[in-house]
Amino acid sequence: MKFQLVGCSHHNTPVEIREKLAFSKDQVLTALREFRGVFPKSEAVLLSTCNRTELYTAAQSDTSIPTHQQMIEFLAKARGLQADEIRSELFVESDAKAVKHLFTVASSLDSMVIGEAQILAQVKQAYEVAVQESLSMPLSHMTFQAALKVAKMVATNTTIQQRRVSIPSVAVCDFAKDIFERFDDKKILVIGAGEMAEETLVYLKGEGAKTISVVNRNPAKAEKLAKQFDGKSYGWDSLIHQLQAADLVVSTTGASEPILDAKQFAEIHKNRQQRTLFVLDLAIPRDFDPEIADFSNVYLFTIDDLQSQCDENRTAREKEWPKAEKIIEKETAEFMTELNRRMTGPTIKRVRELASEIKSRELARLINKLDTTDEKMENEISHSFDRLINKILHPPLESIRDEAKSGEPTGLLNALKRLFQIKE
Amino acid sequence: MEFLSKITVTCFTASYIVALVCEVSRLFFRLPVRWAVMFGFGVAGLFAHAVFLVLPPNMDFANNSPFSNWSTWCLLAALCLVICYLLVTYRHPNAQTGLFILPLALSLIGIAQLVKETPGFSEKNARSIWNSIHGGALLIATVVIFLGFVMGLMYVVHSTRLKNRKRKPSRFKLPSLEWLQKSTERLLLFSTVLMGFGVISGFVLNAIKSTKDDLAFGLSDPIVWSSLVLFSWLTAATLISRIYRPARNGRKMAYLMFSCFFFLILELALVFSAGHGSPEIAGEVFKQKPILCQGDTSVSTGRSRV
Repeated sequence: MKFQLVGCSHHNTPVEIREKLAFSKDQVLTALREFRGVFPKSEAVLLSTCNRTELYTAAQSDTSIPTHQQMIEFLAKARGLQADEIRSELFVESDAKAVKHLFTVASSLDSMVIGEAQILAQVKQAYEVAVQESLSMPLSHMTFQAALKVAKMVATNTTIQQRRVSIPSVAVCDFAKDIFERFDDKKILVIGAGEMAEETLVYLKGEGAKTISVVNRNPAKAEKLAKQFDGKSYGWDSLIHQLQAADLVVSTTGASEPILDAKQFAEIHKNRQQRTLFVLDLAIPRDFDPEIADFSNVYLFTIDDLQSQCDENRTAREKEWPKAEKIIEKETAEFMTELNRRMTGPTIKRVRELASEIKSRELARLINKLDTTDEKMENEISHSFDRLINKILHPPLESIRDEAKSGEPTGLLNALKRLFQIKE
Repeated sequence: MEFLSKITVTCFTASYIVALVCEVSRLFFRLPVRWAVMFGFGVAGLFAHAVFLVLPPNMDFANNSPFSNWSTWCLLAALCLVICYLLVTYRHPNAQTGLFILPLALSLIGIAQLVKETPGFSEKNARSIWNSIHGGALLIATVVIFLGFVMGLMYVVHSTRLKNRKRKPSRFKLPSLEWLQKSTERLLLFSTVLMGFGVISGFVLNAIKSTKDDLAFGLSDPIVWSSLVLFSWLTAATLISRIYRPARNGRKMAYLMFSCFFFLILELALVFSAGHGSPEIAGEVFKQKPILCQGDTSVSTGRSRV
């Protein structure tokens, strides 16, 4: 089997080129259809995400698979570019290296944010789209299924995906969940309508938050954000009132001074009757006076507190890297051995069939000559022939299997085909 | 089934210690199957513990109530704590609640061993329904207060870590503050109700024992009035937390629970030192039948076998 790869990723290709090479889902379908027209004996899977575009091809033999050059030309043509324009920006891999790359990508070790879980779904989707276009994809099926299995192994046996690295995800999934058991009965207050607030709300919504209030100096912006998350918007003058009612506050204003000092908060705290308040101050400079953290049952976290957790998680993920890489290397080696073993299958089968045909013919001739009706004797002779065949074929077939363990057994396979005059 | 009769305190204590060691090791390194091993040892220990208690001589249902002596009482309390530990661990698999609950369960097993030579409860009392209510209510109340103490302790530890915005030791996980606070609140209420049952049934027991002419509730007994003090404190704590909302704040709830726990410890110390419920104390002749353990050649007054 031949397995090839041509692609670009955030590692070595600038975003301008990646943008040009990006495919939408419909464009992927069209491209795969065209590919099948040009290379009918080859299978293809096209993976296109915001950080990478990779074309994987697989075929039974060298003659059926397009060369790297042809693949580059195909990609360029599909995106309306010149091959020379993108050649230097792309990387190419073949066989074991291409398989290892796919396993690494699926396991999220090649991602911009190592350990992000989205890539696995994207790899799965790319394969499903390819199957949708071409029903029979035995080689790609085997390779992509193995990639998904390896990705799950990496996720299970390492903590590479367990630690979050973005500030909003750490704020909600690590800190807020340490304080609150559930979010559907909590009042969420968002102060300001920045990007960080929006991203935090995505995670809070994911955890089941229902009651969301947005307070902003610009009512239009507040209204827009509130509408996006089925919340309510309020004017700046209702800030104190909203703070008294809130359980969780996300503050992201662009104010140059704190919007609330400890003295102002003391009054709010009194009216809150010491209910737990979790404040995520994601603004720079800070929106909440640091002294507010001293009030009982108030948990105030600034962007620095969260950043340190993110950095710690990132370092922890990096520490898991060698363990994950070891899994990928081991699985790649096992996959290639299995693949090579499978490659020898049809030839070994054909040799055995050939030997069996000869045995049947010779056995019939011998029985005819002996003119015997003793069934026991016939069986003995037949078993004896079988043993003879097995003993003769065992050493060459075992050598082929051994060669398959260390690489593609093309040399011995070709020799066997020539010696036994086996045609493809 | 003969092998079940060979189960000893050492069997389940060892299982709980292994589970505790697994819990401690979770702070230091990661092992994929450890949770299952830990939970498995917890369940195995619980099974052995239950079998040990159910089989005679610990619980001879024909002749004794489940609360026939302080050793069995302590082992039953430990069993309840382990059940709670397994339920909480199942509900919060990432939280290391065993670090807090298992030492308490093991301490109770240790106390059971220390008091196993003390005389059993008077036979007449042991068979009485009021004794079962009294012993059962106090046993569950003790377990609930122990759990409340653990929840409160976890709340204080967790809250302090979050308050100081310390970098979380990533391997040390506890349930959320909200869950801990609500659990503490509920446990305080339950313990008050159960302690109420325990105290009232104790009065009834004393009243039954006293003569018609001389109706006595045993108020001169330090154990009785200390129980009353504990019950009063629990009631006051529950009422305060129900009426005054700021008192429901997790840390305050935890401190209330700590105070209840320390009252309970004093009470238990008093109970064990005075041999509460024994025939001598009850003014009866010690009539308890001697129990001959399997394989023993000497008469044993204790119930536990190690």
